[in-house]
Amino acid sequence: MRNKAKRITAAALTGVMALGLLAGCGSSGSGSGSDSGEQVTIRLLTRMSGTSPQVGIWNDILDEFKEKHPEVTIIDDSQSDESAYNNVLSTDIASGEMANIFRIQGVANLGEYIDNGMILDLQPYLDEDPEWGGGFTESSLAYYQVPGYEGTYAVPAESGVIGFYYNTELFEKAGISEFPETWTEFLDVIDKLNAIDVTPIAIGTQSTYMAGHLHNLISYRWLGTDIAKQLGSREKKWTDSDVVETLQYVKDLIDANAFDPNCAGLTDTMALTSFQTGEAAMIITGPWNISVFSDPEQTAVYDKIAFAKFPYFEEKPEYKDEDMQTMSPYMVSGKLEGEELDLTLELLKMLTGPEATKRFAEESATLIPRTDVELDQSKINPLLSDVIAEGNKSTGIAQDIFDYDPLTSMQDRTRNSIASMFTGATPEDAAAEIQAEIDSNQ
Amino acid sequence: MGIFLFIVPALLIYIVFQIIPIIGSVFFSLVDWNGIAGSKITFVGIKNYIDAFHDPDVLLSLKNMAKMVIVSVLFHTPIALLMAVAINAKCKCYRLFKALFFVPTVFPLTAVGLMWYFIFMPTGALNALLENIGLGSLVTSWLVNEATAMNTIVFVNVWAGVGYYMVILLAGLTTIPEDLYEAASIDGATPVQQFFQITIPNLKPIISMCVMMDIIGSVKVFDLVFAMTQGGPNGLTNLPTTLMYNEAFKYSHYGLGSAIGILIMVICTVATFASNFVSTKIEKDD
Repeated sequence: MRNKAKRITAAALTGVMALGLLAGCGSSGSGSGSDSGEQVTIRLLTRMSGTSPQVGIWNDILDEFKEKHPEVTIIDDSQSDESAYNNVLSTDIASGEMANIFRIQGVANLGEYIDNGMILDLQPYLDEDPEWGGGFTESSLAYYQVPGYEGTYAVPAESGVIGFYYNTELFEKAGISEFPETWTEFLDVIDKLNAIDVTPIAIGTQSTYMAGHLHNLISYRWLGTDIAKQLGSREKKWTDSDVVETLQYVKDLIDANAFDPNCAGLTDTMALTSFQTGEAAMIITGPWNISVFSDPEQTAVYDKIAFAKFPYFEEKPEYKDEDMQTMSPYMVSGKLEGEELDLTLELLKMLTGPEATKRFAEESATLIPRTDVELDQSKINPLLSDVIAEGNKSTGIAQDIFDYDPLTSMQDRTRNSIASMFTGATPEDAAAEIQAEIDSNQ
Repeated sequence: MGIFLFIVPALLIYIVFQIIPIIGSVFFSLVDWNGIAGSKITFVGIKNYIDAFHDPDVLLSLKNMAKMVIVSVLFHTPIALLMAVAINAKCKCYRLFKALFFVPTVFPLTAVGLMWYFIFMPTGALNALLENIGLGSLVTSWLVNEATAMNTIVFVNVWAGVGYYMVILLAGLTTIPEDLYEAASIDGATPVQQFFQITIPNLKPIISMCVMMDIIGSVKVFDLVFAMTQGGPNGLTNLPTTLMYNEAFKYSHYGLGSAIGILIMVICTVATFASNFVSTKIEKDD
């Protein structure tokens, strides 16, 4: 009898444990409500994470939104690290559970995401609210109008020209009165900086994007920004002689000792540090570093930094203002509806509206491309003013070359192959390696 | 019957977290899918496996893995055994040495990787040391140079793992009866003869277990490479594990990524059986 009772108890306990496990595997049943009055959850997946002034403003806006809508729970999964961000994003894409607001870099693959209902067409909402939607620059919205699809699939969250930030004191010490405008003058400047034992350009190609950005700038000055689309559409090949020439210019800079000889083993942080401490005279980066460069606690040479666009080639004056610009978007999940969609759009407007634009620009040197905001020049960082002024001269803009490539592996392939030139690969090797990636995936 | 019900929770956990993912990986290794929910999944048979064996990156990663396994097996257990024997002799401060040798095992491999990264980076401690002792000609970018990058990671893997195998072998040493050593001493056997005639034969099952664990552990190394080089420069230090991660999660090539994952599993399984077979044969021959 006792044995039987034991067996029943054991079976019951096991059953409870198994049920508990199954319950754990199942859906919690919470999630986003859509009816009025119900608890709504908004999940965000952006790069706004960390301790920068930009993130401070982002958090202020989220707090303001939460105060206005106590029924809304905001889950901010934002990751400042690119790799960590991509991990979360790829999991979301594979499961189809997109965050309410997120960002996908590049435009070549957006069609596939649109086809699968992952990205909302924002055009009706931009039209519906001209006070918000009418303020964005046309070119920034046009960037997210995907060929073959009606509509606009993102709004810009940050933009700005990528170019050289340079140390005016070191330039003066080397006898250079102003930043070189042409490639020949630029090579001369590198010689002069080498002559006073200063690293001309800080770069750390272990963070391969730095090599990629250098090549983007050279490519757009040599072949115009259309080259990115031509390579992405396979109209041109990486092994075409004029494309190989762009890689040759990278090699020419290496041969001219423009970089630290150990730069292949350095990271972006190390390269930035060498510029911030005055060991290197120039660095290629975007406006996201302006607040760092202007902070005396982080940058020893904060008061000696100026901005200039990449020099142009005398043979190609027509591409003088073909610029690489950063363009970070906010996209909205295509699966939202009802109150959840309304609240998400309201938050998006708060994050990208005129008020936020003014705060981001004046307090964190972050530029949302809007035309309807009067910035207080006395509050604007002079470096950001220069970036805005130079950006206004752009005749063509593009981001990374691979952003226009339908192959997702091209980000790593192009950057790795370009970085390999810093360890001895020839431009022809690099071009062949990149082209091989395309050919093997056709 | 009741007793079998007790294994149900463990069995469920095993099925959910081991068997189902393996079945899922096998499935994805046989299809072409771009990683976007809702998009078309096309059955392609063994194409992903054929592609893997024609991909120079996969072949290089397999070569790197072979180097990692061979060097680890050649160095881990022998060094660990010598350290275990030295500590088991209970020399002065043996507890301190035991703790010191075991410390690398306590650290997460990511932390170990980062620590060694700062030692091996161009402006790191090793190059500074070489400069200061007049060996400036040996200064190099250890993690970038084609000749040194993979060897450096293999070295760190050996350093990080020795303590673990030492503890296992030390536990084995304590099970060998002291009488055997006393009798051998009376018969005039030297310490070296005792080591080869008593210690090694008695530790054979544990040594073969260490070798088996070492092979599997070396095949599965991921975090060390990820922390030190992320597979770079230009894929030079990729292992199948890092390549699998890149293909599946960075490039959304779930088919190829899964095929590499299955290959890793097959290699581990074959290595385990081979190692078991060899150790059983040696024991039988004895």
